Parts: sequence; C-alpha cells; structure tokens
Amino acid sequence: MDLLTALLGNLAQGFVVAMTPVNLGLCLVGCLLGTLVGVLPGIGPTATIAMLMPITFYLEPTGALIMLAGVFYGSQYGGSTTAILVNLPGESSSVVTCIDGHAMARQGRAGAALAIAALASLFAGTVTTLAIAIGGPAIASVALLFQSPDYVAVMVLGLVAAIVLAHGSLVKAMAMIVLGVFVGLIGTDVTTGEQRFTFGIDDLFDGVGFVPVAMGLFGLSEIMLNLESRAQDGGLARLRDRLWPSRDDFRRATPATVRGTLLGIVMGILPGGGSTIPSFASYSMEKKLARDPLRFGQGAVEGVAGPEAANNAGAQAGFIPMLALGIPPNAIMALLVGALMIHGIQPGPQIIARQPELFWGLVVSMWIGNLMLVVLNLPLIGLWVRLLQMPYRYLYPAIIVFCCVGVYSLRNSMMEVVFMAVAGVAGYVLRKLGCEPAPLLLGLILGPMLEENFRRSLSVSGGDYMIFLQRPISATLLAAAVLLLAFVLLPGVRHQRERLRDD
Amino acid sequence: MSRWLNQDTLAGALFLAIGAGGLVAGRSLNVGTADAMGEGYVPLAACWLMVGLGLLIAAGGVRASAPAVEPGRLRPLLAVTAAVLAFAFALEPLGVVIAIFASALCAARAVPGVALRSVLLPAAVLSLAVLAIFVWGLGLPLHALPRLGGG
Amino acid sequence: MAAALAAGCAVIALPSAMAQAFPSQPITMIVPWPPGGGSDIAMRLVADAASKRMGQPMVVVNKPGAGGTIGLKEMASSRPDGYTIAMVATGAVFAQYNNPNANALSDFEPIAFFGDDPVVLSIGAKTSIKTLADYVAAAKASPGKLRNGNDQPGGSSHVAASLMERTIGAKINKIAYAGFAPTVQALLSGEIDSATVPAPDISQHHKSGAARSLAIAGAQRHFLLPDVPTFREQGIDFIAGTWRYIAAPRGTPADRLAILEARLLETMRDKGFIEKARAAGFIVEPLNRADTAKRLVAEDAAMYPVFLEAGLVRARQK
Repeated sequence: MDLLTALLGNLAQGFVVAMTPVNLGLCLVGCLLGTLVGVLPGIGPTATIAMLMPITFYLEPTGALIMLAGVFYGSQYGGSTTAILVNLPGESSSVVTCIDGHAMARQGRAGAALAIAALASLFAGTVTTLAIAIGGPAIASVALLFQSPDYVAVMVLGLVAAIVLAHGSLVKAMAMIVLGVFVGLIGTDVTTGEQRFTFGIDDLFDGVGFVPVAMGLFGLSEIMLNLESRAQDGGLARLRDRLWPSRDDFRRATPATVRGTLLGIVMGILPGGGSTIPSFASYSMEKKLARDPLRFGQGAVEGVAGPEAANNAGAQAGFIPMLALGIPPNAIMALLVGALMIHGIQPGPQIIARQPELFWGLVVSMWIGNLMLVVLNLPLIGLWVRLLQMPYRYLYPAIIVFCCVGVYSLRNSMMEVVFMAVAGVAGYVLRKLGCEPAPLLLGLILGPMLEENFRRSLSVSGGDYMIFLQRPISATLLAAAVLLLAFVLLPGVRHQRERLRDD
Repeated sequence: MSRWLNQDTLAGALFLAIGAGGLVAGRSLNVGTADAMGEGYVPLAACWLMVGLGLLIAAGGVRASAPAVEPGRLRPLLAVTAAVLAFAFALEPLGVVIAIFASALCAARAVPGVALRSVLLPAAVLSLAVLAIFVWGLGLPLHALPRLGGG
Repeated sequence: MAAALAAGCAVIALPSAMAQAFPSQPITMIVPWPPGGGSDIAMRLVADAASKRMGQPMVVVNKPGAGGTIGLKEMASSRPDGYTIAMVATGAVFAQYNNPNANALSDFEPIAFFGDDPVVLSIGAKTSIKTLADYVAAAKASPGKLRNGNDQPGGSSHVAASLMERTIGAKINKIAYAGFAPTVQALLSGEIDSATVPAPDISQHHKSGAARSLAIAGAQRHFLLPDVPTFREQGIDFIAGTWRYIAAPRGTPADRLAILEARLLETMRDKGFIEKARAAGFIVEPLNRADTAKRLVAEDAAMYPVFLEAGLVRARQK
C-alpha cells in the first residue's frame, strides 16, 4: 500500500513537471519531428537527435530530454506508416511490420493496419511507462546478470525463431538467414581487427549497413515487381468501404499486443536489444501460437499488432538501463546520456533520488507523448490511405528519391546509395526465386553479435565450451532454442510429407 | 524452358555460387581453431553452410511440384536500378535538384510510352518537396545546385 | 539546362570569393565519425562557438566510415582553400599503417589541438585487487590471466591497454568489445576484471561504488574523477587515450591557416566554451599549430611499435 501511495505521489510530481506549457510544447515538437523522420526512409532518430543537441544547450535539462525522447518514440510510430503503405521500412524495427502490414494494405485494409499499429503502440507505450515507474531500477539490474555466453544463447534463440518468419520453404529461410549472417560479417572483425571481404573498399570497413540493405530488399524490389505487373494509372490498392479495424481484428490483435509488449520490455532492457529484435521475436511467437499460421504473410492482423507493440515497448524499455544504470543499450540512448551530461547530470542509480523531477517528468511525458501520437496519427490515416489512390506512376519515382536522400543522409555517402541499388537487384532476384527477405535481415543483425559474443565467451573461459551450460541463463535459453527448433522442424517435415502425398 | 529451371534449382544454384564465391574470396583469412577462432572461422563456416543448403534446395527442384519462376521483365529492373545509381552519382557533383531530375527521368523509362515532358513537372514538385523537408526543414548538409568556384 | 545553370553559378561565385577577406563563405567541418559520438559532440560544440568568431557559419558534416579514413580522405582531397577542414583523432595514426587507402598524417595540415581524453584503468567491485600496485602485482604473478575490456585491435582503448602492458612489463588478456558501453557493462557484470575506457564512461560507476577506478593515464587528474590519481603520481610513467585536433588539407595557404588557427584558439580558450565542454565531459587543452605538430610526432613514435607487434602494419612500414 505504501508502495502504491509513493508511486501515485511520484506520478503526480511527474504530471506537474510534464504538464507545464513549455514541456508539453517540447513533447509535441519532439513527437512531430519524430513522426516525420520516422516516415522518411533512412534518416533516423539518431541523426536527428544529434542535430538537435546544440539547441538543447538553451533548454532546461528536463525539457531537453522530453523533446529528444519524443523524437525517438515518435520515429517508432512513423516508421511503421511507410512499412504498411509502400512496403518500405522507415526504421529497422518496422521491417517485420512490412510483411503483414503491407499485405493488408494491398487487400485495401491499410486503414485497419495503421489503426491497429497505432493502438498497439499506445498500449505498449502505456504499459512500458508503468513498468519503468514501478520497477525501473529493479528491472535494470537484470541487464547486469547477462554476460557474453547469455547473449550467445539469446541470439541462437533469435535465429531459430527467425526460421518461423518464413511462410514458404524452411530450407530457403535457413539459407537466407545464413546469407544474412555472412553479409553481416563483412567488415572489420572486432576481435582481431582484421578486414573480411572488404576488397579494399573503405566503405565496407564498418560493415554493410542495415538500412540500405533493408530498403533495397523490401522497398526497391517491391517497386520493380509492381511495375512488372500492374497498370500505371491506377493506385496501389483499392479502398474497402471500412477504414477502421473490425471487431474481429480487435479480437485477434489484443492478445498479440499484450504478448508483444511483454517481450519488448524484457528484450529492450538488454544491451544491443533495442526494438528490432523484439519485433522479430514477437512475429515468430504469434505465428507459432496461431491456430492457422498460413494466414501469416497474407495480412494477418496479429503480425502487425504484436511486432508493433514489441518494438514500441522495446524502444521505451531502453530508457530503463540508460536512466537507472547509466548504461546506454543502443546508440540513441548513448546520445541521450550525452545530452544529460551537457547539463551536468550523470545518469545512474542516483538519478531517481537526486533528480526526481527529471525522472518522473520524463516518465509521465512519455505517456503523454504516446497519447499525443495516437491523437495525431489516427486522423492522418485517412490522408495516408488516400496516398495509395494516387496514380502509381507519380508515386514510385517519389519513393525512389526519398529512399535515396534518406540513405545518403545516413553517412553522407553516395556509396550507401549504391549499396541500396545492389540490394534492390538482389531482392528482386531472390523474391523471383521464392526466397523471402525478412530472415536475411535478422541474420544480418544477429550474425555479427552472435559471432562476437561467441568468440568472447570462449576467450573469457579459456576455450572451455562448458561455459554455455554452466551459466543458468544461457543453459535455459539454449534449451528453449533446442525445443523450439524441434517444434519448428517436426511439423515442417509433416507438412512436407502431406504436400508430397497430395501431388 | 525445361522443367529443371524452376525456383528451387535456380535458388539452390545461387546459394551454391555465393557460398563458393565466399570460400574463394576468403581463402586468405585465418581460420584458427574452435576455441581460438580466427577472423575466417565463422564467415567460412557460413559459406560452407550456404553450399550445403544450396545443394539441398536444388535437390528439392527435381520434384515435379517445384514452383516455376514467374517470367520477369528486364525493363523495370534496369530502370529502377538506373534511377538509384543516377541519383547516387549526380548528387555530390551536381546537387540535389539535378540528381532528382536525373533519377526521375531514369525511373520513367520503366514503363514504355511515357513522354519525357510529362516527367518534368512531377520532378520539379519532388525537388521542391525534398528541399523543403530535408534541406530547409531538417538542415541536412546537401547543396541544391552544382557547387563551383569557392566551394 | 544543367550546363547553363552551372555556368551561371560559376560567374556569380568566383569573383566574390576572391575579392573578399577570408573567410567569406561558410566553412565545412568534416567530422569523420557518426553523429552523436564523443568526437561529434566535441566538434559541434567547437563549430557552434567558433561560428561567431569566424563571422561565417561553421557547418558540421558527418562523413563516418573505416575508422575516420573516409571523411579524412575527403578533407585531404578537397580544394586547399581553408573552407574545408576536419577533425583528426587518434585512429588516424593507426589507419595510416593499417589501411593502404588511408591518408598519411602528413597529408593534413594541423590547425589547432582540441584536447585529450585519457583512459582510466578501472576494476570491478568483486575483485580482490584494491590498488594499482595490486593490479601490477597480479598481472606479473599470472601473466595473461587478468581479463581487461577494451575496443578492437587498433582502437584507442586497445592501444592504451597494449601500451600499459609494455609499461608495466606484464601481459594481460585483452578482450575486445564493440564500444565502451558494453565494456562497462561487462565490468559491472563481472565478466572482465578490469577495463580501460575514457573517464566520462566510467566516472559515475566509480562514484556509486559499482566499479573502482585505480589510475588515469593523463598528465593531470580528470575533473570528473578528482579522487583518482594519475599513473605518474603512482610512479608509472604512462599516458594514453584519445586526442583530437583540427586540420586542413596540405597546401592550404599559410595566411588562411593562421586565421583559422587564431580564431579556433580564441574559441577554445574562452571560459564559457571550456565550461560547456567540461559539462559534456571534455578536457579542453588547446595547442597551436607548431605544438600540435610536435605532439603528433611523439604519438606516432610511441604507437608504431604496438601496431607492429600486433601484426597490423599493412602500409607505410618504417
């Protein structure tokens, strides 16, 4: 009971801070800007926050953090819009949303997909904010239990889950994951400092960027395939009579949202977790749990709700280790630590005691910001859907140009644009051959982290493999991976047999 | 085309080729041992795995039920790729406006019978939108027109 | 149409650029690191403050990639007219020996030194080691056993750990992490015994007691860790870490270099600027052109043997 009153008191203090006109205004500016950069492909929250840093010198630290945080979670909202409408992941965390979100759009259900994505994100944002408020420091200490072998186990579990992403051939999905891992290993090896497969090209030393590959594989190849098959004067999709999700949509989406949120919170806390991996994991989980997994890839609403909830929860859960431990789990949180330090505030265990107005003000503003985003985005849905009615011959050159500008702005490098073109051709060929791009992208993200942690585990243990089984966390997760693999492969074999018999 | 050239045999051959190519390109990498891996261990293992999976996929292609490759058209593939490359190579020397016009002209070639004239107005609108959003709005360091002289 | 436009621009731009005093147009400052990192924040602070003194805006352009090589190559090959300058950091010393494509330091004309970011040797709370002397003794007693977290071979923190091994005369097990945040996390979780990371990354954990900083590899103590003595104070002559300076392409006219040097030094010696930079965790210790050049020679001489020993020298072997 004391806990509850303390919590209410803290939240009340947070409301007082977050509801001042200045802070409300900054929250709105941050959310709007975040939505904009989220919708624009390529240019992401990291670059935007970096560019805003000098402005924050002139703001109160709490207001500065509220605005920068708004840019971050606003971009998570915006990213899913282009994913659903034109199969273009605006942010890496919205790759999964492309799969079923865009399929829904093609069936004329873009409005429903956008609304479900927004509402799932709002739910996830609300729950995550509460989780931060109640258990911030306690949850954060979980991150400190994780060592390299445990990360290896997380990655292995993730890769096994990635196989489930596929709705076609399992073997092809595996091959795509391996290809993704391989592409992810291009560049400088962290352990030895050696170059791998860079062929002396400087632009490959830091590895192949995720964004150009994702935009080429999904966005550009989609345009190529569209241009092959459809009349150019029509729009991308017909509009069904209803813009909003049906009762059936809500019934399916609600449990997926709850599961996605929990997954996002847990995985978002871990360093390197961020919001991308939870979104993949949630998709796999929903597909496994579904009674009719064949709907996935054909516009299953759970495949939008779960991952969207997971990526939003993951994005916001990243604030927990940043604020409570002072350990930024990703580049954006590192930037926010920098922004706080400019104002002489050191994030860490003391921050809640020493700067309660900042901590609780931020927590409450995140909830207000999530609400603002939904209020802002729901009326926009009609507008977005109308965009799909635009003649395609005007739409696709615009998509190409926005992709190019966005990808260029990542590193101010034309080579990134060239890589995107290569990925576009590769995506076209692979899709013609029945290989889906999503597992490749997960391999691309997980591969390098898996290798690095695996080698480090053995380097720490002096070459003893038992380290993976001695640590309870890694042993449990690896056991789960083995079970999942068996679970995935066995029905697959059965399925194959049935297909053969039918022929 | 014969029934041997289906999605599975071609995809298998593709993975086989990528794996083999990686093995050749990475032959100078240090493999090391399982407990002290060199930089080549995991990438080359991934290549071998691709070779193996490639064979497995190709083997599935001998089934009569293997899906056929839908015929593609070269024109959209080339035009979209050219549009991206035109932008990439024009942007730094010529500025963002010319890069957009070049890209839009290439993109228009994807569909036969589009008059080049009809591309100019949309390209101009697009240029204005990009300048407004990225350059004036977000302050990206892009220049609008060719930079000569003092720059 | 393109040609006409281009010709028009040339006619307007050329005479005005020549007639007026330098600088008469915005100055581009290339930061060869991604937005948001330490180098980026430091240089955005400099650009923000220097714009007023230059009378022209200084525009920061991030050109990251290949440990700074891509951005520096762009600076070195740009027109040497003083309008394109760049930040150079410790990694450039490594790149010139490791990457045949990289520019040599001699391709850059130093303008002014920004300051040092020394590494701090810190240990986890759970180890039995309490002081620097304990640490050295433990390293000597069982060579290669102490696990130290650092960045990848060639990175500033890895170089610092290697230089430390040479100075104390004992081997440690250098474990590579991709970045300082994961290194610190591994230190707190007990995966590694010690870490060599810059002061802003560790100071709060030292204060909270989650980790203990034993010594800082700087000439003086760091304002973020006033109670942590330097290696020199404890009898070990060891200085290492990251440093940053601002440079122009070789061939930039001396009078323009002098103007840039004067304005940048004024900026970085300003009290208000130093305070802002301190708040962000940076030590500002500006040096002029001549002293920067001297410093670079010394750094180069100290680091080369480390790269050679690690087998990472691929170009410009001495």
